[in-house]
This record gives sequence, C-alpha cells and structure tokens, in this order.
Amino acid sequence: MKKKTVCFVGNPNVGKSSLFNILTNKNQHTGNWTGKTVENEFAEFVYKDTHWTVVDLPGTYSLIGESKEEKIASEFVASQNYDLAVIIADSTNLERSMQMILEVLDITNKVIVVLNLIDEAQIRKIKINVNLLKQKLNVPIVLMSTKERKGIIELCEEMQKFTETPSFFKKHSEKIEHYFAQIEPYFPEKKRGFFLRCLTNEDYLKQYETEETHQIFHFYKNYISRIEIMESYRLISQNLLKNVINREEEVEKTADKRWTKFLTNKKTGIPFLFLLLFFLLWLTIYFSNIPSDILFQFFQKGEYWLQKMLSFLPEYILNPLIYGGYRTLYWVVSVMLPPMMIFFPLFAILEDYGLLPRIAFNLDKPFQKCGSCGKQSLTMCMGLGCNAVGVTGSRIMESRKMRILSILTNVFMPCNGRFPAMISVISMFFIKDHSILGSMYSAFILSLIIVFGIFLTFIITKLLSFFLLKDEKPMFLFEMPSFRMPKLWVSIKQAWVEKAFHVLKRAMIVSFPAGIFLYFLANTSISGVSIFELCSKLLNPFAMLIGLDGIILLAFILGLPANEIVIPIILLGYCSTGVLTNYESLESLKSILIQHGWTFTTALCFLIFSLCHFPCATTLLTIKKETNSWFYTILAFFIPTLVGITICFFIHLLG
Amino acid sequence: MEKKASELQMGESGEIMKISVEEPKKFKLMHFGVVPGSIITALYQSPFHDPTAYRVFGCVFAMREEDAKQIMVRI
Repeated sequence: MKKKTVCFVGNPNVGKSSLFNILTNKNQHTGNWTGKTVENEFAEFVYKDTHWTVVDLPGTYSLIGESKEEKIASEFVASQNYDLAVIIADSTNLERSMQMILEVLDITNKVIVVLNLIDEAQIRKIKINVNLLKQKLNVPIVLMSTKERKGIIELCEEMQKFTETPSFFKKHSEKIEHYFAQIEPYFPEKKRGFFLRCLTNEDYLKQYETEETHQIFHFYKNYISRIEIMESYRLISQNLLKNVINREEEVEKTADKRWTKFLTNKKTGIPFLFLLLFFLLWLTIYFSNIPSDILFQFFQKGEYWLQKMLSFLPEYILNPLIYGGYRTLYWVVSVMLPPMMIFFPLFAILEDYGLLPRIAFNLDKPFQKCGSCGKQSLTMCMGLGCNAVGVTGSRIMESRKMRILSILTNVFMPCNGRFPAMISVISMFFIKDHSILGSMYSAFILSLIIVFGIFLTFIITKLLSFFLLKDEKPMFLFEMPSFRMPKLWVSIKQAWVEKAFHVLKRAMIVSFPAGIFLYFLANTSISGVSIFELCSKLLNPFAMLIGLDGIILLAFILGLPANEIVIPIILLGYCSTGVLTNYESLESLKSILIQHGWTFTTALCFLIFSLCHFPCATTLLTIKKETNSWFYTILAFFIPTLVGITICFFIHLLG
Repeated sequence: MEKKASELQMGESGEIMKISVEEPKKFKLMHFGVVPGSIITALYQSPFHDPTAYRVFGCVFAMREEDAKQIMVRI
C-alpha cells in the first residue's frame, strides 16, 4: 500500500475540521467560530490503495502573519513534508480565501483547491465561474459541501490521481519582483514563497542567510513591509477573480438578519443570553436527577458483587479498594456523568450554530472597559465546561496581556467538575420542593452564581489590567460567521465523545487513587486520632472564620486533583466510620450536613468558595504550560482563593 | 461625500478610501477584505453601541469605534 501525507490548509471556520472528521472518522470538535483549531491535528484514512496521513493545520487567513496559528500553519506548509496540500476555500467569500491559495501556490505546486460551502453560495446566489478559475489557477478544483457530504469522494479521487502541474506565474508588485531578481540567483531551487517568508520570519531568515545574501535580505526586510506583501497578493487576486465571481444577484438571508437584530438589540440581547443560560442549566438539573439515582443504585449493587468477587483478598487490601477507591469513583461518576451528558451536547449545539461570536460581540464593551476584549467571553464559555480547556483556549486572545488576564480569571467560571456539588447544595438548602418549579429555582440560583462569577471576572480583570503589562493595547476585530444549523446528532456525539468522556475519564483516573489515599488518611491514626481528623481540626479555627468548617476546607484542599471529589470527602469526614457512606437520598445527605452544623450561611459560603478557590491541579499545570511562568501560575492559585476567603469572611460576618 | 466608517448609518455602505489603522490591526483588517476599493456596509451594533458589525464581500466582522474612526469611506 502506498503511503502519502496530505495537509489541509484554509481560513478559519470554513469547514476544514469537518472535512477532516468526515475523512478520518475522528471527532475533533468543530465550532462555528474562528480559531477553534490551534494545533496541528493528525489522523489517517485509507482510500483505495493509498494510506493517507492527514494533517489539519490551524485555520489562518495568511501564512505571513505573526499569530501563533499562522506560524504553526506556515511552518508546516513551508517544510514541504507532505505529498499534497488541500486548500479549503470558502465559496461565499472567495475574495478572501484567494489570498491563502496564492500564498500556498507560491510555496508548492502540489495543490488541490476545495470550494467548500458551495451550497450556501448557491442559496445566496453568488455565482462562481469554476471552469475559468480552474483555467487561471491551473490546479484541480473540487466543489464541496461538508454539511451535505457532497464532494468528498470527488476529492479523494482527485487526491489519488494527482499529478503536479506548474503553477501560473504571479506577477508581484515592482518592489517585490525587484527583490526576487536580486535574491533568486543565490537559491535557484527555491520557490518564491520561501523568499517572502524570509522577509517576515526572523528565525527562518537566520537559517538561510549567508554572508553574501545577508545584505540583500536585510535591505529588503526593512524595505518591504508585511502589508506590502499582502497588498501585492491582493492585487494578483483581484485580477485573477475578474469575471470569476459575480455578486450582482447576491441575496441576504432575511431570517438570519432578523434573528441577529434580536440577539444584539439593546433590550433583548443581554436578557436573552441570561435566559438561555438559565434554560441550559435548568434542563441539565432537571434531567440529570433520575439518571443520577439510577447510576447510584447500579453502582451500589455493583459494590456487593465486587466485594463477593474479591473476597479472597485480605481485608487490608479489600477495604481500601472498595470503601476508598470504588466508592469515591462511583460517587464521582454518578454525580458527574448525567449533567455532563446533557450540558455538553446542548452547549455544543449552540456553539456549532454560531452563538458564541454573538456573545463576544455583545459583551465586548464591558470587557473593553476592563482592559480586555469580548473574546474573553469565549474562553469563559469554554471554562464552563472545563477550566483547563478555557485556559488552553485563551490562545485566541491576540495579545499576551489579554491572554494572561483571561487565563487568570478563567477559574471564576464554575466548571462541570464543580457544578454537581453546587447543584446538590442548592437543592438541599435553597429550595423546598423538588418539582419542576423547584428545579427551575435551583437553575435560577445557579445562573445567579454564574452571573456573580462573571461580575468577579470583570472586577479582577480590571484590577489586574492595572498592574499587569500595562503597555499593550487590546484589539477586537472579530469575525461573525453566519448561523449554520448544525447536524444535531453529530454535535451531540462529538460533545459526548470529545468532551464528556474526556472530562469523565480524567475525573475517574484521579478519583480512584484519591479514594484509596483518603481511606488511608481517615484510617491511619496517630495516638488515636486519624490523620484526616487531625488535619481538619488544625484547619477548623480558620475555616470557621470564613463560614465553613475544617472538614469542608480540608475537602477543598484534598480536592485539588479534581474538584469532583469535594462532596465525597466532606461526607467521609462527617461519618466517623472512616469510610464513605453510600448515597441514599438528597434528604439523608442534608440531614448529615445539618447534624454537623450546616446552616444556610454555611451553604452559601460553600457555594461561594466553590466558585472562588484555587483551580484544580490539571488547570494549574495547564496554566504553567500556557504562560510558561511560575509567577502567573502562583497568581492563578492565590487570586481566586483570596477572593473566596474575603467574600466568605464577610458573608460569615453578616450572616 | 467622504466620512469615517464609524459614522456610517446602520445599513449604509461606502467605498473604502483610506485606512490609517496601525500595523497588527491593519493586517487583520486586510484579511477581512478591508482594503481601499472594497465596499463596506455597517450592519448592526452591540447592545452597548460598540462594537459595530460590518460586512465586506462575504465577511461579517465586529470592529470597535476607535478603529472604525480611522477608516475613510466614500458614499
């Protein structure tokens, strides 16, 4: 079997990742907003007699820019470590995609152009003369609609039978042609894209410059700006597209227009977003109760069988495994899995539909006032799923300052690991009945807590932007893709496979050993008092000051590896048996808590401290990786903790 | 008549004449198709009146007033 490598290049949000997923059966998540893919993704598929390795490059508008994605993408394209480059272009905006096509064609001739979203272009009556374009570019062109799954086989066929043809000659601006004439004799085998890249990329230049060429390179580096290169490409593209695109009869989707008006209207925009958040949470809370109970019962039965099966083991091994590891594990799974299975898909549908850019648009002004920009709300949305994801996602922020701000404040969005504990505390202490109305009320309170988190994000961002990296100026230029009705099942499946199971797996990997560790803490005693008790007693005086108690605070500390295990640890602490109790009902849980002195104030302090405390270990490690600085990692640990302690202190004082 | 892009009424279009935005932003704007000669249309505003969404060719994007002020258009 032949082995070949193909890379996918293209503008953001034109369906590169969708095509990648269709071809390779992967479930890489594709959101309807710019900059979803920030790293090269690899996968493989077999078509006929060829084994293809596909590399999905981050979406970029150009290969000569300075952003992280542009560097990653251009690095790969320039390396020429592939047999074929497939450029995915947007049929509804070919004017822009052409830039990319031309840039790639200046580096390699091994190119196939895909015109994706061709169905949408047809609906909008944008006319494209494909034959003329093919003639002019002299490369194969495939029409595609990844949504309708059209053009996939055609692309595979083209890839299979591809033979390199010389690219057409692109006459650049006079300045640039001058530069080519000077430098080309020194590198007769190099293509023109290489020379342009040398002007825009310092590292690249250093690799190639010699004594002879040093002067030429440096002269032109100062003489030809990035903008001029872009401008030159634009002129070529303009000439090329003459008679290719006809927008005379273009129509706008009126439904889209009205809906956008509603979403961004002064009176309806923000309230609608709040209602949406509320509705999302309510669905999650309401529909996860029953599956949660079923899971608990299932695992409790499982415990019985497991015990029987493993009864040959001595007690000192069996007990930690069952009462420590297994019980913590099933607590975490039963509590986390149902809400995640509901929340993640719902959120994914909204994301794929294209709602997120509108949120960023609506919230830009407040963020602007705080020294950041609306894109931060996107990272916050990601944080709602998992803070580590939100931290990584902060790469979409353009300047380092904004990235740091967004990373440091991400923890104020309660992630899915913290939701379940918060929901159960709300339903125990804030509502009386558990009907639909009751669950609506808990959803409302949870929404308020999230709004409070948003409020804190604003304040902390504002404060930090005073002290941190004052010089940089934030910018907000952000694309607003048109709404696209997602394929529901695809979105749901992706959310389950990509996110829910991923997060759950992480929680499970942490919770089993953590459970065993806890068991030993609770069952190893020093002069008659278990280590667990000792620690909680030590913490107690301080914890009382902030409206909690030693055990709760210890639970938060021990919950550092994964926030999901906080409630199980609290219960372990209260039930002096040294093992985690079996879950019976919310009522029995409540009575245990009340017996140990929980009041409404304790519950409120618990909620606030859940919202504002140090991020989990995974998130901290991600922060270290992303900022490459211990200073910011430590800040990320202390800022939310201090905020939480302060607020709880005052709640306790007043309550 | 010439005016700033930030002064366009919602729904109004103009031909871009001059862009005085600075480098990294200018670069990004070029990606959106904001170059002299393109037609730019103001579409709608955010609830807080800033930023505003504009369209150039098939691309809709959000731009803050401070940047839109530095783009001159002819109607």
